[in-house]
Amino acid sequence: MDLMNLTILLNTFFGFLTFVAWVSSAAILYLYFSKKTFTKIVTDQFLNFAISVAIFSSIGSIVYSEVVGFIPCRFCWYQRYLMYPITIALLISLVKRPFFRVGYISIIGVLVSIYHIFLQNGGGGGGTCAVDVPCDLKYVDIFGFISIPVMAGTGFLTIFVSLLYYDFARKELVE
Amino acid sequence: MNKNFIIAGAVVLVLGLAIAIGVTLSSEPVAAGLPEGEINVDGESLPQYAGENDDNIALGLSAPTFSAPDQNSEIFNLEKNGNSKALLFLAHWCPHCQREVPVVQSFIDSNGVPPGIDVIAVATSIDRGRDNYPPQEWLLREGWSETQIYDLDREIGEAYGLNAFPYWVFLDKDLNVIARRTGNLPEDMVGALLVQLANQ
Repeated sequence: MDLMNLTILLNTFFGFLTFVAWVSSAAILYLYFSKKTFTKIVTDQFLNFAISVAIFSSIGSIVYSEVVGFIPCRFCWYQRYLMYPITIALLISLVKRPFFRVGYISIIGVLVSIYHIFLQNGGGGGGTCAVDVPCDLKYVDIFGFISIPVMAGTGFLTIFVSLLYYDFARKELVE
Repeated sequence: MNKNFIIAGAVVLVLGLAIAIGVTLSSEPVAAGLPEGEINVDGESLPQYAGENDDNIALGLSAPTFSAPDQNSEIFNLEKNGNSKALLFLAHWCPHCQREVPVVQSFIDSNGVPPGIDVIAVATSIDRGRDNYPPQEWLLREGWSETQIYDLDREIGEAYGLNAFPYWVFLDKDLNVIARRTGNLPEDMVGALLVQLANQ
């Protein structure tokens, strides 16, 4: 498979997962605001879901840079600095449950991603692209709006709402 | 992990992979290659663009001449021909360049190129892995009516002190630098600069 086809394959795959994450986040937010709860086994799956999203986001970023060859820009790195520790902390939470709260820093990732999306769409002033790897460069542009920071922001948001609901539902179970 | 969670996750992943494989197999390959041709640059390189201070360092410097392929792989030579030159360095993947091209073309469509000026788009920093490739298809879509050349190894860009896109270099009839600018220029400013260049 040549690089162009691999890029299309990965873009479509991660674009699909982004859609799934949006739908999931909306559903989880509905559960949270309607205060619906489930059994402990089902509740635990929300943590597992957050962990899965973090793992796929981390793997996705590594595949894009190391396999496809997209050089990460400064803001891509900021998002990586947040996503990788979140992934590790959430994996630790499988054995040390309170560690899942580290995942709440994903809200900062959402903000970084939003700013990166803003830059990609001509915000930030200047009106120029740097020659090397500017943060307003779109390596990926699925359907004209799913770029790498959109994927990353979706990952952060999904992790955040999953943990928010998990935290809430867990407390409800104890009470 | 719960067995049902694993099954649901696997279903989502397999579905995603199946869609991705389907899209990949049905996607049209990028048919067009890049124009071909040897690029030659002669003369001393200009210093890197220096923003607001640029007029102090670049004004009046003699620009290097060059030859490079156009969209039909025919060699274009930048040489003294009695006309002033407006060189617009563009990167196909740069959103600001994508906005600049229609602005410039709109001015040209409405007013024409002022007499005594050659407007030349220089497609540079070409990267197959980035958005909006290949650049000649992009310029075709935008209806670019003026000369377009392809700086395949960024040799010309480097010789002209390029460090950001879009990048304008205005040269007088003797190929001396009159001004260099980066960033999106609004249509009225593009027009004013071209008229000013024509009056040199």
